[in-house]
Amino acid sequence: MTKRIAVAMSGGVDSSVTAALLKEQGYDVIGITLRLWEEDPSCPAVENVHSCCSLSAVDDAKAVASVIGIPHYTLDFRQPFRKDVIDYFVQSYTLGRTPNPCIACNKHIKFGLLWQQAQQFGADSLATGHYARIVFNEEKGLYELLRGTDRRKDQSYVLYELTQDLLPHIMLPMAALEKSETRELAKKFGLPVFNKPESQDICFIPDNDYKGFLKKRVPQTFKPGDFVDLQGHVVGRHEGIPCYTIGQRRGLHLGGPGGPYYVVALDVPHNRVIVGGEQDLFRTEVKADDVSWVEGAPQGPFEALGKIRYAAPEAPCTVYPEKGGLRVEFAKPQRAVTAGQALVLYDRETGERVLGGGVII
Amino acid sequence: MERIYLDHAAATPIDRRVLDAMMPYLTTAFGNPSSLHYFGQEARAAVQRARQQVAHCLGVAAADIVFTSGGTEGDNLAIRGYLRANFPQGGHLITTAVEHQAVLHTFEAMARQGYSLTVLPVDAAGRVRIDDVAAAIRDDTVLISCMYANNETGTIQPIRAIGELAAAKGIAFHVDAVQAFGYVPIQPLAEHIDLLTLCSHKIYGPKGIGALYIRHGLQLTSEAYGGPQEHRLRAGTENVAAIVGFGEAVALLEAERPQRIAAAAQLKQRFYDGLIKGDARFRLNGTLEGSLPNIIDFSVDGMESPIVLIALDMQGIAVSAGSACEAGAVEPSHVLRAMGVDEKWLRSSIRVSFGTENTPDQIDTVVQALQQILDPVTKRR
Repeated sequence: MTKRIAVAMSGGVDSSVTAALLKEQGYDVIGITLRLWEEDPSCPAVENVHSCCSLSAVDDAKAVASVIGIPHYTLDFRQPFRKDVIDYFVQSYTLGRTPNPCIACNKHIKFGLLWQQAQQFGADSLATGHYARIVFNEEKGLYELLRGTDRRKDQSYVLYELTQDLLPHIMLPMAALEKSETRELAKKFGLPVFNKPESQDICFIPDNDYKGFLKKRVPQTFKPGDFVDLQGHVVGRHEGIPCYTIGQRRGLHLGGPGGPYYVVALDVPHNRVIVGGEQDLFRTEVKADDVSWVEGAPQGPFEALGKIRYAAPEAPCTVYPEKGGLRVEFAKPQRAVTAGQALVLYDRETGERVLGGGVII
Repeated sequence: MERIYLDHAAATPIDRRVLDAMMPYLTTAFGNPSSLHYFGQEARAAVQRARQQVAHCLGVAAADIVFTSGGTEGDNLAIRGYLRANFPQGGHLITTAVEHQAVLHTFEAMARQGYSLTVLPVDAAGRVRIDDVAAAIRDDTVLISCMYANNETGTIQPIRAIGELAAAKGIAFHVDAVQAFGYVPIQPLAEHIDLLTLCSHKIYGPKGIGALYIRHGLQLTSEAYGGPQEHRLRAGTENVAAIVGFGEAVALLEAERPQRIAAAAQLKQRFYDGLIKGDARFRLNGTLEGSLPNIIDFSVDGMESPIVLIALDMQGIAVSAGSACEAGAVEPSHVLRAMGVDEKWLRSSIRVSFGTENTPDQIDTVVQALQQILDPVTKRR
């Protein structure tokens, strides 16, 4: 029987090409688009005014599916997405952390609930448009998670929570493609989304105004307080802890002789934002919890390459697994280590293979 | 893969005889009914014949039938057209919580424009209580609208009783009979219905066509400006082939309705006995009695409806999850909510609607498929 593959289609180029490639390869492909968040209530569909923010992602995905010639379904995941991604996102900020909602979405929504439901309607595999590779290592008898061939597009960072029970069922056909090739393929397949722009950072905040988003949900956390330098001197007033992230320099409005100032810590219990010079941003030790290992938990300390945020370069480090978490000693100090972001570990030899990671605390 | 279609409440296939009747008007008899010449007259005659077919089935005059593009347009024309022509300054409106969006959203728009609106609750079976209707009527009530039978559960409403109430008070009564028409012999005059919405693609006719019955003497304002077609109530060149198809579908319906009712009722009973009866994993939404013979709606325990629908579709079986459906994402049904259905069953409703081409064997296949999908032990993996 032909293998049945559910493709998570966002309406974007990558997942559209993913579906088209798999169909071309002869699989029994079904497209699934998740409805994840409420449309912007500032533009409601009352009085029959054509709404700018209707379900265009769903419409795009449906248009692509009909061009490819595959069945397409929309699943309403607004409730779980709210709980597992949006609430988590908001709560992280109230705790003085800077979350990565894509990682939470991958874990709970795409490779969690979607895969669970896809199995219920008979899918053998789940495919997404992520740029990363999954390879079975015969010698080790294990599935490896590797970076995408196009380093600039590599998304292995947001997939570090994939584990051996999931990897055999996941297909990432974008793995070996360059982004430019993807658009070429989209054109070749006649997909109507071939020139659609890249999606923005946070899908559920289309206007990118994350402060406005948080202000609507947790106004009480936007409590003005003191900027305090590392010596304990009050150097100014801040507008509320969720407005700041570690390493931030812009928008502090702090003049004076001690500057320029950077945010070096968020002190939630005392509602203080700690500022310092750029040199105060560097740390060699990083701790993480909520740890996940792609090929199983390692024994004892080992050498690796660590990456402390999506855009950070990976850097040599020594990893010390600890009970319920891990501690990492970087060879060189890392700039702006931020609680809530993921620390992802790659193998020391090639830097290609994801070992695992955790959430920085 | 053999496909089994059990979503006739959404759309029926076109009857071969209907298509045959339409073909000349898609090919050689293409004239515009407004034209003076032979071609125009040929088309005009066809439209008039269809109008008579529809009128005959309802026991009304052909002049009281206006062709529309379907149920939604018919509902809009009836409600807005009536209010604009007669009560542009406002008034009190009554409808029910289980109406189709075409009615509910129109009334909500009227309410935003200043009309006063009462939305009546329903009982656990989805039926309006006639006492509630009587109690809701006020001195300034100008329009009551109630569907004949519900599109999700098939529940039939006490139309004649409401009609009598409305008639006694001189209040206009609109009935959306889009779902009921195929399985209930409706007589607007006897049932005191002033405005009746019908639609073609639920009775083996083509899509994009329907009709509104307007009681003789009732004034309506048209929705669109333009030519004088359809008694000045619907400007625009007539969709002749579709009108002919609809007329033919109605004529066939009139002749064959008793057999269709009997056949559908048998399939519904078979489905109920095979799947739902005595099995605590299922909940019948509505009742077997007092509902359309071609619709059965039920909820399943522990699996949301989209998953069941997709799993069935993968096996070539087409059913639906009620009607409320926005770009494919299934919202909890407002009909089931109004019936007070427990949250546990709200997101897992399945509507199966039978048609003339379905067989008992198909029902058995579907019952078996549903049991397999819901049984974790016999699941595919």
